[in-house]
Amino acid sequence: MKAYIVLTPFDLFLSSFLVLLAGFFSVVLRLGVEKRLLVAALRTVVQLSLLGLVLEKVFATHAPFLVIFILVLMTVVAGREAVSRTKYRYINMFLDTVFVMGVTAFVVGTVVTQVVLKVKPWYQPQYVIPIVGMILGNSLNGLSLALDAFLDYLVTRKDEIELYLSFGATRFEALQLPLRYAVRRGLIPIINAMSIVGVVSLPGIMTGQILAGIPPAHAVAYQILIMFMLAGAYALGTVLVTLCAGWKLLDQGVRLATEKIKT
Amino acid sequence: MFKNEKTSPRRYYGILKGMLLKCGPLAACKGGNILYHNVSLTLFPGDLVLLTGPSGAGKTTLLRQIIGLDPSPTTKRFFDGRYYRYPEDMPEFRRRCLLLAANAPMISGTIEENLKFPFSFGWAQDSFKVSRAQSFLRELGLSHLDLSRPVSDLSLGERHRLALVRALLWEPTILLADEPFTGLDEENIKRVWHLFEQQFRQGKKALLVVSHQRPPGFFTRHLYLEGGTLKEMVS
Repeated sequence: MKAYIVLTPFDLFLSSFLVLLAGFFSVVLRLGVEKRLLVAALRTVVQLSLLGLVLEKVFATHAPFLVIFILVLMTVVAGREAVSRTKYRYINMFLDTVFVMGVTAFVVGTVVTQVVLKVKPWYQPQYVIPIVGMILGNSLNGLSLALDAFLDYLVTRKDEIELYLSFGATRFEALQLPLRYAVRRGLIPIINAMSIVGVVSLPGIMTGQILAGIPPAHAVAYQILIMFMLAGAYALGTVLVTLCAGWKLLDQGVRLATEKIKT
Repeated sequence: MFKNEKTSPRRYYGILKGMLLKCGPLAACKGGNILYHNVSLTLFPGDLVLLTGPSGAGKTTLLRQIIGLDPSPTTKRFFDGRYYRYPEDMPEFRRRCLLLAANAPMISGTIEENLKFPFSFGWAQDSFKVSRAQSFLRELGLSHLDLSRPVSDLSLGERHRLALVRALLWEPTILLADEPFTGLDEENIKRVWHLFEQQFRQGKKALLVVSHQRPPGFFTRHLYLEGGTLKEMVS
């Protein structure tokens, strides 16, 4: 294996000027995001440092419960994050996003780690945690996009759905238009990513693997697996979350309860 | 409480003979004020009913509650000799008792798609017939419109007439028409009323029109919603 360049704290200090540049633009152009940018940058440092400290211990563990606990924690945080990203929200939306995240991570994660990679033991943290993390992080993205589009449709195009309902549409008939619209919106990022990967963008983990000295061909194989995995996660997450939201907001299947939606 | 709810439909059954629709009790409030309370609506076969009342009295809410788009959990719906449960039977009820909304909502798409989509639902019994659509369009002065044109091109008046065509094509047993004359000139109002008479003044059918203006022809009853109650006006 090739030796790789180890980053020193000073190197990271230097790179922080790039974030400061973004903050500089925010101030000069009055984008008003400098505070959020600062918080996000700090979160990056703190969260990743903690992760670095924890992972080493976790990777050495032989306790499946600890791994499951970490996965559940990650799922809840991802679910919370999804809620904070949408323009509209509804009562108990958090429960839905956490539930959908959990199902998506479980289904896709099981297929990848147990069926494709066949990791031994089944909870081997070095594989399970990063893979589930990637599923959560990406489906979070698709899920919040889809949910945002779905709720926006219900609010701004309420008339269309009530028109459907007034002609005797059942729950699924009334939801087909917003559902299609939302899932399509949620899938766009992964479709775009799969289309340009390797030509325009070199995905982060592949870059990481190559930098760490893994042969490019092996890194590519992993990357293909990951792209397919993410496509599955996006699809499952967006469909499930819009179904959950639709189920709740179409009151008893016959009435659009926009009073449950809040900004 | 529960027991009553279960037995009451059967208890009323006998009285309901001869009625096409009995829907009540209905109550609604808005911003802390009671709009109306303990109102019930009865329609008989062949009824052409005019419903008027000051604006803000809750006429639109009343229509929306009848078909269950606005919440009204205790309302019972007896229709054509049958009790319709909420929510299970609502799609079927709405298929037969159609609301024509005041703002003439359209789905984005062509005119044809807008006339056709209801026929794709599971509860639809008929199929879409272009020739019938065209004859209604002609009668309401819309024959110049190409069916493949997007509805976003239409003027407000054209949209209202298109919504009317869609409702008439559907041939509901009862039509609840909320301000169907909006944006129509006198000539068109007469044509619309004529079509209403043709379709609803026969057999087991009825029409309820909310309007600020008197229909240009015969109607059977005049209801007035004011001060929280629904009164029958004697003309």
